[in-house]
Amino acid sequence: MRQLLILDTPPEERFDRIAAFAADEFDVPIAVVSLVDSERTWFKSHCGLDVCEAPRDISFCGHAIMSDEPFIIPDATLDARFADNPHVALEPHVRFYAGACLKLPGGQNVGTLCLFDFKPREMDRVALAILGTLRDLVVEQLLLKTAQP
Amino acid sequence: MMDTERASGSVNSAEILLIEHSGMVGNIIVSTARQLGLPHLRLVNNARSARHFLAHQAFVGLIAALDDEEEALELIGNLRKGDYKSAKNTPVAITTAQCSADLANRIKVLGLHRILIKPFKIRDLVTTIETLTDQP
Repeated sequence: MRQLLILDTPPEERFDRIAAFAADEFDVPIAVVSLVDSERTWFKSHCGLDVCEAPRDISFCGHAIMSDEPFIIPDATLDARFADNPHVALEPHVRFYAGACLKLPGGQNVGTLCLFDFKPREMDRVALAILGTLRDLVVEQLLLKTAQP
Repeated sequence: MMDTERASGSVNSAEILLIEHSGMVGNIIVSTARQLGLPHLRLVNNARSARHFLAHQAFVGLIAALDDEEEALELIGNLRKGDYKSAKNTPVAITTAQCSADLANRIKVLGLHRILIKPFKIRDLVTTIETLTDQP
């Protein structure tokens, strides 16, 4: 992931546009492009969220990148893995998470395009397809960056 | 539009012609439709390109952005007159930033199946694609 040379770089419109599009499309308060580092999850784009990183051990995205499939938590308060997570038990009281993995051509899952909400939600097949499409756009942009001299 | 007239051009595969001026939005629609197994979308970014495709290929549906309103409405009118290879009664939906009384009057005679007001949700466009291809 470090070969992407993207960690701790400034915000970029091309990623912010996708995150904002996702927030609008899904009517969620927060949409994030995250990259999961060894100790933290860093946000390349964080629409609706003031902070730009979180400790990996309490990160939803840290779980999400463990599988290629979309990682959906319809209601975090009902999920034993997240019910006592500080983001869930304390402010901002996250209830819903949906993350699609950013998979590089080499097979590494380096982060997610993810959605957060403060109320429980479901993702149907159309929503998953749209999230997957937006995720693909993010990956495309990540690779463009890598390809530049 | 109850007639079942078929156009002279053959429909090689069930393709829908999509006119969308935003490349990003257009690509999101096309990719999402592909993931959902919906009919293939032929994406063009203006009515002029659409006219070229309509002249050479039959489509099972048309979704037209009215950003270049006059040209797009003329194109739909020509489709209804049977000027292209697609059937006269090909289902048509439009996307538009606003639908004034004047526009509403102009499109009334075009037999549109759906009007989406921008900014629309991709989900609504997906539903529109399904609606167009569900026509009897």
